[in-house]
Amino acid sequence: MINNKKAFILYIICFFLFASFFIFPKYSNDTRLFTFYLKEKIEEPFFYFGQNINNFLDTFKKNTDLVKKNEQLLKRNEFLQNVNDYLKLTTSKYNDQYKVFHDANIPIPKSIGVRVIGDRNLTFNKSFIINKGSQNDIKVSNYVIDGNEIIGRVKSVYLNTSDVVTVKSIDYGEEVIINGQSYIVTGTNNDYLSFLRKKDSSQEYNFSKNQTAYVKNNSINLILGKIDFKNNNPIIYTKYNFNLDNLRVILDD
Amino acid sequence: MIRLLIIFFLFILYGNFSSNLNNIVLLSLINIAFYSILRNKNLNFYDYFIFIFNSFLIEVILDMPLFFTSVILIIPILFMNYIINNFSFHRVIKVLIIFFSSLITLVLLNNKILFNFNFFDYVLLLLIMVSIFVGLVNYGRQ
Repeated sequence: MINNKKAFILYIICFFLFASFFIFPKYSNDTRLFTFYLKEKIEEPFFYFGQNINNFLDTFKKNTDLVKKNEQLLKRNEFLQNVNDYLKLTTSKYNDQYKVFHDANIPIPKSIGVRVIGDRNLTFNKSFIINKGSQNDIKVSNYVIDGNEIIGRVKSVYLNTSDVVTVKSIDYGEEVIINGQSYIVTGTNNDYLSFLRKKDSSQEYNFSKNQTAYVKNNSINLILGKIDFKNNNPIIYTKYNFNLDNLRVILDD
Repeated sequence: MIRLLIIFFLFILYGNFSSNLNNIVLLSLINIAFYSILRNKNLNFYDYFIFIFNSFLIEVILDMPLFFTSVILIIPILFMNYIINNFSFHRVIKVLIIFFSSLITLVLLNNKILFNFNFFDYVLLLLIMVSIFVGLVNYGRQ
């Protein structure tokens, strides 16, 4: 009987906590991000031991396996160099003009590398948590990128963790540039984004397949996806699977 | 204590595996939540505390409203407890009820899971069922 009384008191406490979190979603978000921060801290020693064991097991690997791994790393390096060249090219395009007006080179956007905590398969929701937060100058609406492709935007920030909503999520909205004209698009919880409305209602859709939709962020253009058609309606296709291993967050200047 | 330790390790493990294994980790967490409420006719403080802790972690993982399960969803589960424990069901049937209610919960969260199961998953699911049975034999209705 005493046990039941205790359970009822616990239920009342939970009820008030539920009501508070429901009325003030910010505190709910902060609690969630703090829990993930704790999860990351607890995971650290396990990762350390896991890495050491992996390194130890690597010493027993065959030479052919190591050569294969080396080839994969070289391919990855080549991809990153290509991305770097693209970014250099896009910035250098306007560099001379910028120099005339501002007497300085175009500032290269600052970015910070991040790691995903928790589910990286995006099975249940189209958002994920990263291991950097306001202490690393991350702010709400900062872009999260892989190479020069947009993966998502920061939705909420805590001290050492942030919530990122991916471009696939229905909560994602963006102004994109196609053929030099602006359009508003939104995520659909599928692998594509749909056009919500034209920014200027007098504009007409005049797209061709595989055209690149990009987003202007200060001096660089970030790729969102490619144009395709579904039931004769234009859509923007994103990648089916995101690579969440080398993510960076672009910081505000 | 055993359940608390298992919940703790499952929470740490979640997110570090492939999609299928992550689903099984989540299914195990949901199973523990159902088991804590359904194992005994009278809900005691310790079981309810484990249920709250477990459901809180599930809500954090899935980005659901916090404490929603402990306040709202517990009511139909308590009704289920009343029905199950007032009939003299065999333990095996009880295990199947707990297992399939958690499986239905998981599928309701994302129905695409159904198409991604493979044989290896089913083997691990049998392990979960065995652990529920062992739990009921040792700590079930007294």
